[in-house]
Amino acid sequence: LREYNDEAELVARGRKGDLDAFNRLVERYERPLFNLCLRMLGSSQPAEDATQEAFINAYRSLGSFRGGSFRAWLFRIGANACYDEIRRRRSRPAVSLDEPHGEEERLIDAPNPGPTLDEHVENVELAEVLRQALAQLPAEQRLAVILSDVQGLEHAEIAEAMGVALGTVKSRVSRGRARLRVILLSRGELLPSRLRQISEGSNDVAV
Amino acid sequence: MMLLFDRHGRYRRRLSPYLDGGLASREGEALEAHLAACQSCGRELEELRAVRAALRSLPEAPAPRSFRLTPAGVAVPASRPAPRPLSPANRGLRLAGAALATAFIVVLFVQSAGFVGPGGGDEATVTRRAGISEQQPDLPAGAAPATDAAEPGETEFEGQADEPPAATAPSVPEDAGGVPSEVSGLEQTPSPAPLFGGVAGEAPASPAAPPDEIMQDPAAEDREPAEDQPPAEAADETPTEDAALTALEDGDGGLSALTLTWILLAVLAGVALAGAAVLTIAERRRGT
Repeated sequence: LREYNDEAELVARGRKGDLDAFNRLVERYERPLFNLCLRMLGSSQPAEDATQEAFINAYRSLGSFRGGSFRAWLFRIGANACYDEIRRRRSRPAVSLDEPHGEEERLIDAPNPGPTLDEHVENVELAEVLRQALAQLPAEQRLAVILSDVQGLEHAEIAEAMGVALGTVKSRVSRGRARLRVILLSRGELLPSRLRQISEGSNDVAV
Repeated sequence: MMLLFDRHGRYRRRLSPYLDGGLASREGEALEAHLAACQSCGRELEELRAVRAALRSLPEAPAPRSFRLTPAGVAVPASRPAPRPLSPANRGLRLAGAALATAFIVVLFVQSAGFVGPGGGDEATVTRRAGISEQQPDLPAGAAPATDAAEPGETEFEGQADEPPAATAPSVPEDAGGVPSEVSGLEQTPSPAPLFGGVAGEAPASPAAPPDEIMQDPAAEDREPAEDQPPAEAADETPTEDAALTALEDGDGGLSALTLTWILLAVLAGVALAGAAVLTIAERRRGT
């Protein structure tokens, strides 16, 4: 609650043009917002651009923030920046989400120094498979699944971030997961042995 | 069999919410009972659990750089939105044009329909002077960049203008000095119009710097031919307010109301045009 109050004050100061106050919010949320964009868009450079665009748009439209979860409001702006990028891609289909991306590996091994080499390789593989599978979801289901299962937001906050009803969030998460299941099954990622690995590997992350 | 399949499908749809603990207790219990009996649903639940676990296991990437905003990055818009079809200045000019057209129509209507008798020299002077001051705003209004904006007003007015002279001229010869001058003023509008538009388009500074000149110069030009016709009255340089007072002192209610209407309309038109000019200037400055 204290953090929330602090946030409301930073927002209020940012609204009056206090850029330093707003930049404290940027520091607080740049990593989650960048990760949201990274999972939505699949590669680092577009995610970086979308993140920057989202922060600029957020600063300019601080006046329209009506309280509630600042994170949800910010994520909504970030999601819109991602939707814009996805639309742009559709109009020039040269760039594909399925293209393997060299940067992904670097991004993945950085915060995860614990596992052995074998596990590390498997995690990288799994991350790559997930990236490609996420890319096949409709953007709205992808966003719902990322917010719910990658970022770990409550469904109520997701509803706020997506601007839809709670029931819609639940159904998008369900459909997204169901489709991911089918994709992963088709790639042999959900065989019983692999299943055990995944759940063991995620024990430390999942709460 | 079909019924069984439907029920099975319903349970399948509940697997994901069940995973999130989002089922009501009775629904949850029913699903658990089904899971105990249905192997495929049990397997699917585990697979969905694995999907969720895999997503949760995705490591959080570090931010590739700081996204702090700089004053420069915020102040200068990254991309200016395309100019809207109708700018505020154009709207202002459009409004001024419409106001002027309406004003002329109203006054002409009052003159032709509500005029009781000739008001004498004073009245003629006032009317003509008011008419002249009315013409000066009309000049730039007709010349507004949005020519299509001015058109409806003009055509409307021309349609109306045909009648009043015909109605007033025979009955009140003295008043003819007033009405035709307006009509001629209107007919003149197209010729100075391109001039103003051209100047405005090429050199933003010139209409920007002296709005007063815009208001006065055309007036000076227009006044001379008008004053040539009745030289005696032209010498009488009483201010408009004085003339209005004189008209009021005449005691003719209809007459003074008419005079006041003229003055009021002239002032309103002037204000509207000044506003439009200021808007245009402001927009030019912003654009360049």
